[in-house]
Amino acid sequence: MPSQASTSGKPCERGATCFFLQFAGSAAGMHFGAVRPGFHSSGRLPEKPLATRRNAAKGGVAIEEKPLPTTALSAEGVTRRYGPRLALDGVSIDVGAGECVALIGESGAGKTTLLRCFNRLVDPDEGRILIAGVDARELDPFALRRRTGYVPQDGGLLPHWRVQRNVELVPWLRHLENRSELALRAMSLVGLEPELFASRWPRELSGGQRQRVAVARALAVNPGVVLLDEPFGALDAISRADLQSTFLGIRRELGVTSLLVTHDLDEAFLLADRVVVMRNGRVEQAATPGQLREAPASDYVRQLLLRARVTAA
Amino acid sequence: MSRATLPAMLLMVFGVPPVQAPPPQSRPVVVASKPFGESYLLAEMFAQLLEARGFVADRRLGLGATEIAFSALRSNRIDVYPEYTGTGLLAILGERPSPDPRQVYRQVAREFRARYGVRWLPPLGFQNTYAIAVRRETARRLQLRTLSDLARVSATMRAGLTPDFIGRPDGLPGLAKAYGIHFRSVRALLAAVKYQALAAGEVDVIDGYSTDGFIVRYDLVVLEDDRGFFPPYEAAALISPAFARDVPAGVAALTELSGLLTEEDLRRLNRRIEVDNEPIPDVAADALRSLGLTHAGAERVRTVKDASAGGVAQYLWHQRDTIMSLTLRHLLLVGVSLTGALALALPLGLALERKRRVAESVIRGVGLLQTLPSIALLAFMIPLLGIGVVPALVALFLYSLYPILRNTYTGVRDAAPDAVGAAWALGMTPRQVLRHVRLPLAAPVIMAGIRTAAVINVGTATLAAFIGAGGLGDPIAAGLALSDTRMILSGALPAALLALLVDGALGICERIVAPRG
Repeated sequence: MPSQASTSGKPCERGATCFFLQFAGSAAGMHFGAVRPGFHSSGRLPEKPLATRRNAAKGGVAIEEKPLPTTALSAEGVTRRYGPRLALDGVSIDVGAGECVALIGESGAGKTTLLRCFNRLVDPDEGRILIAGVDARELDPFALRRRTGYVPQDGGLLPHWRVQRNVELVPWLRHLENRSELALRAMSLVGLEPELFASRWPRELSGGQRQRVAVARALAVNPGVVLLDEPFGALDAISRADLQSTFLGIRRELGVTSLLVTHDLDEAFLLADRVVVMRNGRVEQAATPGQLREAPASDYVRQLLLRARVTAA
Repeated sequence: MSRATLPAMLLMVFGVPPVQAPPPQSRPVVVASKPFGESYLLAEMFAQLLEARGFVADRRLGLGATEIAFSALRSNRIDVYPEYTGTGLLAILGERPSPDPRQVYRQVAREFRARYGVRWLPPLGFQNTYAIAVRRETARRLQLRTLSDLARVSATMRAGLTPDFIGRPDGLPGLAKAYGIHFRSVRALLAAVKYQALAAGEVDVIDGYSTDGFIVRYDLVVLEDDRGFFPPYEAAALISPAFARDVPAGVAALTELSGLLTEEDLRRLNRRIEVDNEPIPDVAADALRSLGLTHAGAERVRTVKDASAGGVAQYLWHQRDTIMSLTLRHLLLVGVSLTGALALALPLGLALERKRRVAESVIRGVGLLQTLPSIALLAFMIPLLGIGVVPALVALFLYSLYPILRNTYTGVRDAAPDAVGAAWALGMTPRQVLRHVRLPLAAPVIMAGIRTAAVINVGTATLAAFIGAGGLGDPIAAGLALSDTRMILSGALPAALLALLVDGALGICERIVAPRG
């Protein structure tokens, strides 16, 4: 197990090791069989609720037969400065295991900065980030990122790699032997037929197809968490609707914990279990779509709802 | 004399040239010249005279300019080259000119020995001073006989002058002051094109040398220096400290030439090499023989093809062996210097990508090297590295750094930022990002930098001839000095071809290393 866990080539440190074991189990679960969800040495981690293990009758993808890897996230009083500018100002949020939370707000509200705290692309100046109950600072950033799905707005596909190799990126980084199997599964999951797409170059794809590849790449190792930074923002309306419904289907199948940055309230209401409205580096309101609609906590939230025309309901 | 007779007898008896001149009495004597016809000729005469007296001569002809040749001599990198007392006085010592040749010789002989330990041998016997020349037709029409006459009409005259002459105090600035000459326009022209430009009517007046063969060929009128402005330029052999110390007999052999050559002799000899394009070694051998310094048969027997006949293609064909070996030497210079530049600039460019704060200043610093004039850089390196291949390699290496460094840094820095961001966010280490994302995506830009450097390098390497490193610059420099177009082309054509080939070969490499997709 430990050898399976240390894939970054870097020595694991204290807390990181137990995190590895925890997560290695989830990834290894796909080829080593079931892993007890409570498998950890410190006893510090809470017993995680198993993900909603729904049978996807339609998909036929066999990933959901195993205990699903889900992880709770939380930020506690997180502050982050860029020079004199306060990007995050004492932000606290909780994302339950298997939950999908949307971060919404204007440009510069701190959404992306907050998102990037969860795979340590950004470290807070104050406060802490907890991933499955472990302080993120105790985790090796590279190992953490290899266990965290990430979908940027522009896809970020490596233009000199074919589609399959792009999807195999994280399995390859983790030295998993069944990387092509994982990649082909993930491609099927996002609705890209492997026979048609595996050997294409990214430039040969439409924008929507490229985002599907990006989602497949994020999910190839069946990570506990996926972070999405305006993943569908650059697509035309039809492709966006297609991808949104694909994403809903995947969430239903995998129950992966999702944190989604968007500036589209419709998209937030459609995809997320809860919505966190951010403004000037602070949380304005965190609530379910229904609560938000019924009881906006401030004028700002009300304005936001009005502009998005979702109040009427 | 007896030494010279034995090979001659062997030649008569066996009909074959002796394999070797008499056994060397000492270390080889490095004989150099500056890059113009008369300097080549005198140096070749020095070399042949030394060989006839049993020394081994190592020829380094056509060194860049006065600064390069003298700097090499002073630091004992070369042993002897022909120089002119006026140049020594004004250009090297920076003293004021004086009209008396004897006084000038005494002054340079004393000062050079005191300051540099360098010796002037007694003058060869002729002067080669600046000659301001016009077309015969111009002289007749404007009634020009002297420089004072020229001053009268200078405001209507277009001058074509060597860059050297335009700058030096005993050139145009002094002339303007002494005679009040101010030309309507002044164009900087190299020796090789000056005469043609004058003949074609592009310019009206040029600076030449009083012993030039071209003055006769183009039927020019040399205007008399009626106020005695130009200092005396007596030709003499300049001897390095080490030569004087190590090979006194060789120095003594060279003094045999002192006082033997007249201006008339030189005009005739220069005409043969500059106008008739006879091979310099042949002309030098004839000259030594007619001076009674060597005997028939004592000169090195040569199989010189008749170079004066035939067109460019035929000339190139005759010279194919020489051209091939020069090309190989050229390729060696380019290959080694470019490899060295790659070995430094590539890793440096990649390292700077990680240290962006200092990157721009480092790259700009390297870029400054690019702005150094190549001749200045070469002259600067002689005391440190001598002459020949080593300083040439260092100079070419320095000139190749910038394009490679700049393109590597920029290419890697700007490579597909969204792909880099995603690769980083999904857990690649900085090293993996560099190796698997930035570097392959930057490959076309980096290759473009390497190709730029390679093509510049092939061109710049022709200047290596000026510090005796050989290569295709040799025939170019000599051809320019002798105004021999075919000789210039025999260096320039292969150099151009080489540039195309190198660029093409690197283009193929680029297709191999560049990522698909």
